[in-house]
Amino acid sequence: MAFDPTKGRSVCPAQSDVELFLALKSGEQAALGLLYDRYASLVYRLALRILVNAQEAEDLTQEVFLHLWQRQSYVPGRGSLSSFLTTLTRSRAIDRIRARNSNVRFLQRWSQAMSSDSSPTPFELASLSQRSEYVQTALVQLPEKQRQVLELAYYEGLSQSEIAARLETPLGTVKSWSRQGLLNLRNHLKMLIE
Amino acid sequence: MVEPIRPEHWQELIAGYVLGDLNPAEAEVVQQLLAAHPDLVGEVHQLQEVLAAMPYSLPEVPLPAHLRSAVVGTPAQATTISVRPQRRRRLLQVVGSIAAIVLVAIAIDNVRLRQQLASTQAQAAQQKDLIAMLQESKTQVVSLKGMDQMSDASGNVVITPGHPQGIVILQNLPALPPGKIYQLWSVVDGKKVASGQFAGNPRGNVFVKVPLSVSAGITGLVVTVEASPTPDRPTGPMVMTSSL
Repeated sequence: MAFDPTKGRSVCPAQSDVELFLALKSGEQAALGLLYDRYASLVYRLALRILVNAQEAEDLTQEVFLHLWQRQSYVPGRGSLSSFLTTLTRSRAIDRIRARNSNVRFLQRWSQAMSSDSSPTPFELASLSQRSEYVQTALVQLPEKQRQVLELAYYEGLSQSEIAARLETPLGTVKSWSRQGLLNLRNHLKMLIE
Repeated sequence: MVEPIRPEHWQELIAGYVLGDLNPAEAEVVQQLLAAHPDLVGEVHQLQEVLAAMPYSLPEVPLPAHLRSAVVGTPAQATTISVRPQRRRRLLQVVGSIAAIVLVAIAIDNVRLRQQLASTQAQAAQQKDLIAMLQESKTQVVSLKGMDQMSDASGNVVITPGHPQGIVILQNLPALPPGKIYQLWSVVDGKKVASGQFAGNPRGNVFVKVPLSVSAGITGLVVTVEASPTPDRPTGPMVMTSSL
């Protein structure tokens, strides 16, 4: 059920994420439905991957979209809506796993991100299924260890020392794998995100 | 204590910063780097975007059908469809157009039915949760009463010790202007702790789950009207109250 921005089906067809968010902010509730149709599958997928439990993933998906609507802490100039949603989902999901609230930490992290240029990148202009294809292709090009360490940190919320213990590998090596992994991932996606 | 660092290592440190795995000495170096080279902030941002794009690689899973109505609510209006007037020269075209309109009408009807069904399913799921909570002997039902202009508003909050969520059931809640939201607070040791937000449906009813767990120090529940984003402590008027 990939969203194709060229085929708007509703009252606000083909509007960008930022346009829809601003519409939502000004009270246009229909925009929430369109943003849901665009990103719910990504948010739910991520929530389910981290939480494993389908009911909890549903609750979290609901929470993330209500947060987007009611809290309005997304600031378009600071990054893409997609990354806001995945960062929020991941942060909340890992909080739930750890059963401790680090919402403040998420907001601090999010507000640290700053961008002077908010024009959409080719990645943001691509459909959801295309984006999935880009990231899958980029990830399989990473050396196995780099990918593994990135995924352990991202989806399991493990610290580098926990990963080092699990893989029985020195901490320095694990840090180097994950940092190089992220840099390589960026290099593979470079054409799309600039 | 901070040693000069070679530019080729900058990137790796910035990646570590984005991944949140810097040790204190490295964190200090990155702070200095970012202060001295503001252009590196763009690099940080780009790596944050890349990291946040990781979930796109996850395999697609079917989205639960009732979730949309839980998030978006029952849509008030059907989609408007504009039919561009065209000259119809042949009877076949007319017949074709009528068939198309009928199909669109059926499709809209189907969408409505699906939305109603999804909404009913979501409601049923919530009611099931409520019944499960009420079946537990330790569950408490706390009544909330409206104050001042909201004296008609009333309802209950259902909480179970050990459960991370409570259920709020209210009626006669006035609709709020855009940008305002009802905020529930639990009073713990004299301090108010944010415990979830909600808005009434068009009929002024509320039936929502909120992140509310029973802790030893809770002495009461309070509802205020807040502007988004909600502050850490209540700033808006208090509209409902209870005591435990």
